[in-house]
Amino acid sequence: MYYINDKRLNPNPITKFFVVVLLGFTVVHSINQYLEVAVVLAISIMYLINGFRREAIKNILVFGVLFFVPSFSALAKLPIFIMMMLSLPAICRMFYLPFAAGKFMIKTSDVGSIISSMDALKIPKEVSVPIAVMFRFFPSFAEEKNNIMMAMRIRGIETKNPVKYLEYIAVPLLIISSNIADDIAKAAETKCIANPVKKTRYIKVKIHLIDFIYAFTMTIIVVGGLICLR
Amino acid sequence: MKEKKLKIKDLVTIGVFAVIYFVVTFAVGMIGVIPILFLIYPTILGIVSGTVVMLFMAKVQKPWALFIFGMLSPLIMLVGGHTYVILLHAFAVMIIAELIRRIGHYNSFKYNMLSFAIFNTWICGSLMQMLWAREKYIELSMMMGKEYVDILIKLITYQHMALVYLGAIIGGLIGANIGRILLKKHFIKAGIV
Repeated sequence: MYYINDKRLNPNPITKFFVVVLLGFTVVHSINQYLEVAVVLAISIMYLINGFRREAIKNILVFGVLFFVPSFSALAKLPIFIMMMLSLPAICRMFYLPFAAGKFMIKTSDVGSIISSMDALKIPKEVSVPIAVMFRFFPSFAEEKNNIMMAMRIRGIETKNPVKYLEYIAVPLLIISSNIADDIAKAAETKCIANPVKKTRYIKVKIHLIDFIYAFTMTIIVVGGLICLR
Repeated sequence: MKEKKLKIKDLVTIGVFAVIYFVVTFAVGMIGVIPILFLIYPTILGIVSGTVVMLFMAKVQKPWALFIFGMLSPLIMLVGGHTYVILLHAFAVMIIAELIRRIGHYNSFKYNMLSFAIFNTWICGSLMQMLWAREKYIELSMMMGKEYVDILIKLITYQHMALVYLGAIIGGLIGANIGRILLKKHFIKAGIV
């Protein structure tokens, strides 16, 4: 799992989620270009103080490339097909800000803190249990898929027909998955998940100073950017 | 009489199937690299994901299961960099799908099929946000030349969106029927449903 040096410097998942939704507004209502840079820098600083040096640099580099994409293509008189290809980076750039914040949220928070923050928000268990299961099941899904592919190779099953291929992979995968679902449910029942009492968690969600700093910086940048363009 | 409340077992099933559905959505979404194919993306998604959702509906025949299942993918997409538009759109779509399923008492194939066809239109939300953010999108692609923008403006209109919705519904119907064939062929035999 990911190591986080100091819990005090890591905002809790609620704050991070708020920032993601806030930056989602910038896709529809555009903000000043230089303030976009400021948002990216702020996220990189958050990475740095949490000890993710590599992610911080990658974040700045990717945005740096995307920042110059439209002006690059302005110089070249390209045929229509390549222009369409270049529209992809343009779309990426539109969605980059919320994407970066979302990535920050996934990278720096563990499952335990996400679940206990959902508890703190009084989200009903009808929603929080499936989300927790999703985090648990993602890695084993990839594992099962690889196992099926390997089994097919061992037995020498090869087919070029994509429809057949899809059926050969999908059907066992679905059967295995629904068996795993039953197993997880049994394991959870043995640990008394259905017991209707208040549960205790290993990880407590607290509000530190960093939550306020992170949320306020982003709010000011986004609101300021909207006012700037008016 | 069956108990009609979601239990832990059903919630876990929702989580597991949501992962599968999201992976399928993501894999099919790779065709979006070529911009024009964006418009038939919902149709293809419906055909491919029909089996997953029909199996899910056969497994969990309880109220609100489809609603929660359907809201999870937009939630992930929201974290992955989409806007609130997709969440609101999915919310409206899921309510309709859930109500249709309710008419059929959650176990009739006909209503489940219709429900899936409606369910499948949630992905159009990601195109709708393109439509609502059109000014910005056009402004960004202005640098790529006048013709390109002209094509774009012609392409992204409300009339075309209606066609995309229709495609999603047709894809959903086809996918549901493929799902039914596969269910009969494999899953009932294996004792999954």
